[in-house]
Order: sequence, then structure tokens, then C-alpha cells
Amino acid sequence: MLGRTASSLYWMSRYMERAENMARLLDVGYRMSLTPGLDSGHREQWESTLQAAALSDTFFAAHENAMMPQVRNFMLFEESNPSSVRNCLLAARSNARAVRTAITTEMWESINGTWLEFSQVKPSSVTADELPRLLDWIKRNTAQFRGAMLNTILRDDGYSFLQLGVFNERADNTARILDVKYYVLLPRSELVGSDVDMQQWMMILRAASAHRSYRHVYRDRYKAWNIADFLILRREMPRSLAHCYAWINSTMEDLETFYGVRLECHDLAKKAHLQLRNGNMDVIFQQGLHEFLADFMQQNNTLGASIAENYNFF
Amino acid sequence: MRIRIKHTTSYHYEQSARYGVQELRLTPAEIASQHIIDWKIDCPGIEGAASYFDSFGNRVHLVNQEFDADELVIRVSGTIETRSADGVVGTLPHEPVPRLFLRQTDLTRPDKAITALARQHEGRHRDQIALYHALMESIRERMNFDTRSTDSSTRATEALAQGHGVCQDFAHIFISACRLLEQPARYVTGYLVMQEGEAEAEAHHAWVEADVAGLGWVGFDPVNGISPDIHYVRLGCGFDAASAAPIRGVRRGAGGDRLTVRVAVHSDTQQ
Amino acid sequence: MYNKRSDKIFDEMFMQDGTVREPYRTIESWLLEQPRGGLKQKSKDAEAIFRRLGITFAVYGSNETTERLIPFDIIPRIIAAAEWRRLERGIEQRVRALNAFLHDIYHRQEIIRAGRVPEELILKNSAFCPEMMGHDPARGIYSHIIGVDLVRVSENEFYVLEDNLRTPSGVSYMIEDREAMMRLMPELFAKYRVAPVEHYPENLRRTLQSVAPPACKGDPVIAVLTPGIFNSAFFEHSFLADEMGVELCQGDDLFVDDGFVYMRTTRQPKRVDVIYRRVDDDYLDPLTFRKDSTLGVPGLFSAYRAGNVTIVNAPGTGIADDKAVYTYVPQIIEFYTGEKPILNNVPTYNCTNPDERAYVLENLQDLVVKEVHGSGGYGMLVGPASTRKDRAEFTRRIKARPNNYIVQPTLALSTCPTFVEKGIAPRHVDLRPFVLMGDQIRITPGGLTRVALKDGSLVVNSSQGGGTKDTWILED
Repeated sequence: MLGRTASSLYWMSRYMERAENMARLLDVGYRMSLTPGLDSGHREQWESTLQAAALSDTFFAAHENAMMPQVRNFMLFEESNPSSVRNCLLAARSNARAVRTAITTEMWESINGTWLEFSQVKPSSVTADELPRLLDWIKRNTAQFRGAMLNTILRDDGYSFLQLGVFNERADNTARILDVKYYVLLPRSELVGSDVDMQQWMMILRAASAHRSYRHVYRDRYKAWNIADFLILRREMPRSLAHCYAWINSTMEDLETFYGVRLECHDLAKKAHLQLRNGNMDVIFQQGLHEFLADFMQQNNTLGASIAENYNFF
Repeated sequence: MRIRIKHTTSYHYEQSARYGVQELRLTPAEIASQHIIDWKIDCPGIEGAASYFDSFGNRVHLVNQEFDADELVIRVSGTIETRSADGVVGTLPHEPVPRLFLRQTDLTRPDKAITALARQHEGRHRDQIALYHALMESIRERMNFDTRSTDSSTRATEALAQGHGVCQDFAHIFISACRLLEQPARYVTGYLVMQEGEAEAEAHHAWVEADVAGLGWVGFDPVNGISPDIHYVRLGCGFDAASAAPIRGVRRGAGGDRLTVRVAVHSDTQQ
Repeated sequence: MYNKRSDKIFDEMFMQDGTVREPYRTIESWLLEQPRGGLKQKSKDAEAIFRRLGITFAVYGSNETTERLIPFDIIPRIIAAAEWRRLERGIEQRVRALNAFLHDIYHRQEIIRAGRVPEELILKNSAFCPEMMGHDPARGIYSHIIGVDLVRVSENEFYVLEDNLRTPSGVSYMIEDREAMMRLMPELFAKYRVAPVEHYPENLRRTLQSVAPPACKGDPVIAVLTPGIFNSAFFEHSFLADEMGVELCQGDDLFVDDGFVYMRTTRQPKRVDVIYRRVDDDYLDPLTFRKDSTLGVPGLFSAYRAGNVTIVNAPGTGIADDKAVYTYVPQIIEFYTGEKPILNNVPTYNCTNPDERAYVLENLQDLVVKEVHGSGGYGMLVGPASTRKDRAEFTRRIKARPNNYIVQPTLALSTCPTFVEKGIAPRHVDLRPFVLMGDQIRITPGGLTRVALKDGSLVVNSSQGGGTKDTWILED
């Protein structure tokens, strides 16, 4: 397989995952803005949404205030925002076109159809009332793409690169959401344990589609410790760091078997995987959650770069 | 005359290059005026070089490097025995039809001034050789040798307008005028021994060859106003300086580069 | 149900007296049987098939490069076996002669010495590639993939409009059009014996393999080189690579090492022996051609000259389909084959000749003017469809640069029944059969029929409102 093909497969699925994550984050921001009692931090909600999406700097370079219409437009449509849903879907589709013959018709139709339909949406038509419907549509379409991928593609090296793109992106997203809540919102210590605090935690879970499953696992009210545990160490939680790295690690092992060579990126994946598998929440809190997450995001980035280097993505 | 040549070209990169590829036209041909005793190109990648004759009949080596380096050094060394042949090169193996060299290029395309220069000789000389000598003289009258006023991208028209230039500019004007008069002419690169004995100076040289009925290619050096003699070593030819360039390369890597060329030519007079 | 355009124009379905020509008999009765709205539905189904498959071409010029579908007409164009055999012989003669011409032009240039083609036309032509002088490509073949544009003007008269010897496109439409037709109208295929076109990719692969360079030992590795997803024909590049089971590469995917060309793979580099490139000559190798090109591979041309890789088609083939050289093709055929041309050239006026130029300027309203280096129907004047202003503009241009234009009479292109808004109507068509030249000459029976969908229009280019039709060559 060409290095560029591997790269396109990786980025295609990574951008689809990112489009979905953007939609989730925007959904959470939207709900927060509707929730009474959070008005003390109304503007901050949007700022934290941007931070969770790693978009603060880009946004504030062009805008003064983070208000709903601007943030909505920025995250969905803005061409100058490389992570806007529009740009993610376009990038995913361009990558798919470049490797059209390495993916299945079902995958192509899903990705092509999603782009063609999204590109017809006029930003001005997405009013506050219309927003939830559009966000649902995005989530549904990205899920459909993933379904098409899992159901149709050959389990060879191409499949591995697709999976790596998904989980590299997802791990980054989960870590970032958690970090923003913990690091950006927490310092206002008078709010700890308050309604606002609880609401924020619930939103975090919602962003990970995990507010219901949390109850199944913990049968308890929202607690910072539990939520961090859920999103970091619980392998059964499909957006947790441990889950992402269990996949990444086994995918890397598949690649090792496929090519018969073990490379730097295999060791990096294994190391991160073992850290999470053997991780202990008490220890993580003792060392500092923020430090842990910052370190994790760094490792996750390094892994992405190492995969690109080792498999000649250039 | 036995001539020993050491020619070193170094590229110093601002930032390390990761991959580079070069075409080297650095191999002299065996002709009546020169016999190659030994000749060696030394540079990274030369062991695996692909070698072929290009469309002008030059021996080319294609070399490449996969490395992480901030300089590339290409060394050429060899010994040539030169003999007097009155500038006649004749026809080399692997050569294209001479009339190919009627094609003007961006560097040689004439303007009014060159056209006027050429036309004043049209039909005025008893044969081609007389024409070429007269043309050389006209160019020498109009041009001063000056290494500071032009560079490798200077066109024939620009050089003539300025009235200054180096061997490349003299050659381009000559070629432009010849082609205009329907006389095939080509650009030649090589080395020149300036003085007998030790010399380290402007030894990298360029001149021209024009087609003469019955003789084939004949050399003319418009800078010095003569046909190449035993002090000249011929390397290669092309439409112009760009197409005959002894080294042409592309590299992957950012930043600019600095080029240094050192040529040492020694002649042993051992008659 | 169907009115012919006029008696002056040859219609491929109806003869002068209104009777149906033999090859169209079955389809005529089939068309009559179709329920109201049936064709419309099939036409819609066809569009859906093409859109799903992503068969698009890019259109430039609008604000943003957009992708469009080329309209597909569901009524096939039908050519009888005997008619095709004559075309085949003519095409084969022509491509053999043009290949011999290329070999000669890039070696001893005997045809110039013999005075049959003016020296200036070749040596000073921008389509002539001096870098190719003296090179011996594998099997002596320069143009391996050729698309010959033909038009028909009567029962027995075909003209060659253009020989495309560089990187002709459109073959994917030939194959996909057939695919769509077989899905949409299986019953018609039961009634006709239509020669298949589906083996084209396999033949292409065999052709490419057969021209592996001398340095290649064993099974040649083939790659398709594309400029990338923004190229208007990207779909075709990807389609052909997929159908042949070879890699689709961009310039960045290839590199030269020790004089050989390699692909960058996820692991070890893989050597490439034959490159079917869909990148223009100028952009192939920044070391030899345009320095600013990022689409090519530095050192590729040297690897080619060293005999380590085959470039298909060879650089410099454009000299043989240059519009100014076109007028000499009959002489070229006679010079290299000793035979009279089987297929006609369109008579062409040379504007550098004062008498011919005077005639041209007097009669622009009846003539077609083409820019020597134009393509795709741009920079062209179609006299009968032109305005006074257009003609004044072209008069000025021809006077300024007479050698930049060739002028031909407006040919009465044949018409074929075509399904349009109002029902079935005659529309003008041309035909581009595809020829492969390697260990043998393989001409796919059929080709790409392009149809001018606008009533009366003679411009069939897809960039200017043309569509395509499936082309059926009947077997005896």
C-alpha cells in the first residue's frame, strides 16, 4: 500500500470522527445555554466549548465575544476554521476521493452523500431551533459511515489505518473535554459540589453520550472521581481513553503481524495502553488530573506522528 | 598538452536536505582534440548512478542521495591529453541532427539589436568559417568582459544591451545570431588553461560550436576571439547554458543554499 | 415521432426516404414499444447510477471547482460490423504511420530530408520535444494509448478530426456507459449482438506490460500517475488503476533512487517499471521540464532515458497530433506505409498562404476556425453559429497570427436519435475509438460517442454542454 493511501485512510476516518465530536460539543454548548441556573457563566459556557474543541485561539483571533450565533457558525461552517464540521467533512471526502479504490462503495456513498447534503445547507437557515436537528443529522451520518466501514471493508492494513485515525482522534477529544472541565471550570472553588458543578459534569457525560451509561455503571450521583474514572480507565466505556487504547494497541498488533515488523509506534501504543490498563484513579488524582491529561494528550499526539513517520505517510 | 583538472562544486544548505537528485553532465567525450587518460566523478550516490546519453549526445549520470546533510560536494578529477585540431570537433556518436540547434530558447531568443548584429553579416562572407569569425569580432567589439554585471539567468538580449558579460553571455549572443541566420549553433561547457603551468582562476569556461558544411561542428570562443586550441577541454553541449549545465539538481528541504565552485587546472608541458 | 434535421445531414437512423437503416431496425421498434414516460424513467435511473458511482468531471472557471456529471443519453449509437471493419483498418493504418513518424522525427528525420514535411513545422514547434532526440523507447512505441476523433458525414464518408496521441481521456465513460446500458436495457442486448468493451482495462494492462523497459526482469510493476483529485479526469485515473489492479500514484508517491523509479509504500519502496501517466509532459520532471512543477518526479526523465522505466505515452507525442502537423498526416501515411490513407482528413486551409487566407476571411460564416494549440473546444469559432462580432474578432486574430489557426469547412456531422426534453430528436455526434499499441494493436470495438445536446449545435465537448452515448458495434 502507498504511504499516501495509508495516510488518506487514517485522515479520512479521523476527520469523520472529528466532525462527530464537533457536533457533540456544539450540542452540549447548546444545552448548557438553555439550562437555567447556568446563566452566571453563560458566556463562559461557549468559551469552554471552544476550549474543549481546541478552537479558542482560532476563534478569538477573528471574534471578540463568544456568543451563540458566532460560535455555532464557526464550529459548523467557517472555512477559516480547519476543524469546522464543513471542513472536516470536506477533508474526509477529499481523502476518500484520493483513495476511492481502497475503500468500499458503501463507505464512499456514505461519505460522498454526507458531504453533498451538508454542502447544500445554508448557514443562515440554521437557526437556534434548527440546530439540534442538524446536529443529530451529523451524528447519524458519521455513525452510518462507521457502520458502513465496519460492515464492508476488508480486514487488512487499510482497515488498521482507518481504526487508528478514529481512536487517535477520539482519545484526544475525550481527554480534552475532561481537562477543560477540570482545569478551566474547576478553579472557582466556591462552586464545587453546587448545582452548576453538577450540571457541568452532566454535560461532560452528555458530550461523550455517556450520561445514561454512567448510571448503569456507578448507580450513584455524578461525582468527579467517578466521571474521571469512567472516561479514563473504564474499558467498557467506548469513548474512554482505556477503550481507545485497547483498540489502538490491538490494531497496532495487527499491523505488526501484517507487515512482520515492529516499529517505534508499536512500543508507544503499548506503553500508553498498559498505563491505562494498570491505571489507578487514586494515583491519578494524587499526581494531578490535569498533569495526567496533559501528559496523555502529548503521548497521543506523539503516537500519531510516529505512525505517520513509521508508515511513510509524509 | 597534458591537462590535469580538479573541479569541486559544493552546495551548502541553510537547512538540511533530506533527499536530492542531480543530473551530472561532467564527462568529456573522446574527440580529435582531446584524449581522456583518466577521469573520475566523486559524490554521494555515484556508485549507483544511472548513466545514459542525452539528446545532445552528452554522457549523463543521474545521482541521488537520501540523507540528512547540510552540504553536498561533487568532485571531478582527471587527466586529458589535448591535441591541436583547429577547433574541429566533427560529429560525435549519439548526436542528433545538427539542424536541431536552430531552435532558439528563452536565453537566446533574439531582439532587434541581435537581429541587426546578425543581419549585417548576412551574405557578406565567402564561407561559414569567415562568417563565424566576423561574428565573433562584432561581438567582441560590442561586449566587455565583466564578471559582475550578469548572472546565469541573463538573456542574450539583456547582455548585449548592457555591453558587458561573461563567457556565457558572449556565447548566447553568438548562438542567437547564428540561429537567426539559419546556422545551427550550440553552447559548449569546458575548462580552459589560462597560463602554462599552474593556474587557478576562471578555468570553468563556455564557448560555442557552429555547424560547418563538410567539417561538422567547429568550436569558437567569442570571449577570446579564437577557435579552441590545446588549452581547452570540452565537457558537454546544449541549446544554451541552462540545457548544457554540468550540474542540475532538485532537493527536498527548506531554505536556500550557497554554491561554491573551485576549479584547478594544471598543465604539464612534457613535450 | 422523429423528425430528421434536414436532407443535407446524414442521419444514422433514417435514410433520405424515411426508411430505417438496417442497424437501427430493432431499436426503432423497441423505442415504439416503450410506454409513455418509460424513457424518462430510464434516463433518471441512469443519472442515479452515475451519481452514486461518483463519475464526475471537474469544471473550471466558476468560482469554485465543481464536479458535474456528464449527461448520458440512453439511446445507443449503432454501427454495423462492416462499417466498423473499414474504420478499424483506417485507424490502424493511421496510428502505425504516426508512430513511425514519431520515431523518425526523434531520430534521423528522414521525412524532413525528403521534403515531405517542412522542417520549421517540426523543429520550431512547441509540441516538439528535443529532449526525446535519439531515445529508443521500448518496442519503438511512442503513443501507446490513442483516441482518434472521427465524424461521419454520409453513408460511406468518415473524417478524422483529430488524432489524440498525448493522454486521451474518456475511456472510462465508454465502459461505464456500457455498464449502465446493460443494467437499464438488458432486453436490447438480447436482441442485438453487441461487441463487448469491458475488456479494455485488461487490454490496457497487457499493453502496458508489453512495453516494460529493458531493465525490467520478471513481472512488470505498473502505476498510474495522476495530477491528483482536482484534475478534471481524476475519476478516470482512479477507475483505470482500480480496474487494472495497479496503484494510483501522485508525483509525491514516486521517487528516483539509483536511476530507478520507486513507490513509497507503508514499508519497503517498490520498484515501478511502467508508468501510465496522466500528467502533461511539462509537469513530468522538474529536472528536465518545468522547474516549478510539483506534480512530477525529479529524475524520472533520466530514469526513462537510461532505459529503467517506460513512460506511457512517451513525452513529445504531441508533435504528431499538433493541429498544424495534422494537415500533413495524409503525406505522413504515404511516406511511411506506401499506401493511400483509408480515412480522410478534413480539408484544411492554411492561413499563412495569402490566397487561402483571403478565402477564409471572406467565408468565415461557413468555416470552423481552431487555435493550433487549443483544446476542448475553447478558442474555436464555429462559423454558422457565430455572431458578426465573433467573426470580426477572429478576423483580427487570424490577421495578427495566421500560423496560430487552422480553418476547416463546417462539416455536416451526422445525427443520431437522442432522448431530449421534448422526446426523441436528432443530435449531432462524433466518435472517439480507443486504440492500444504494444505487443499488438488493439482497437476496442466502439468508443466514446459524444453528442451535442443543444439543438443544432456542433460542439460535442463535455465542457460545453456535450453528452455521451453508448456506442454499439454489431457483430456479424
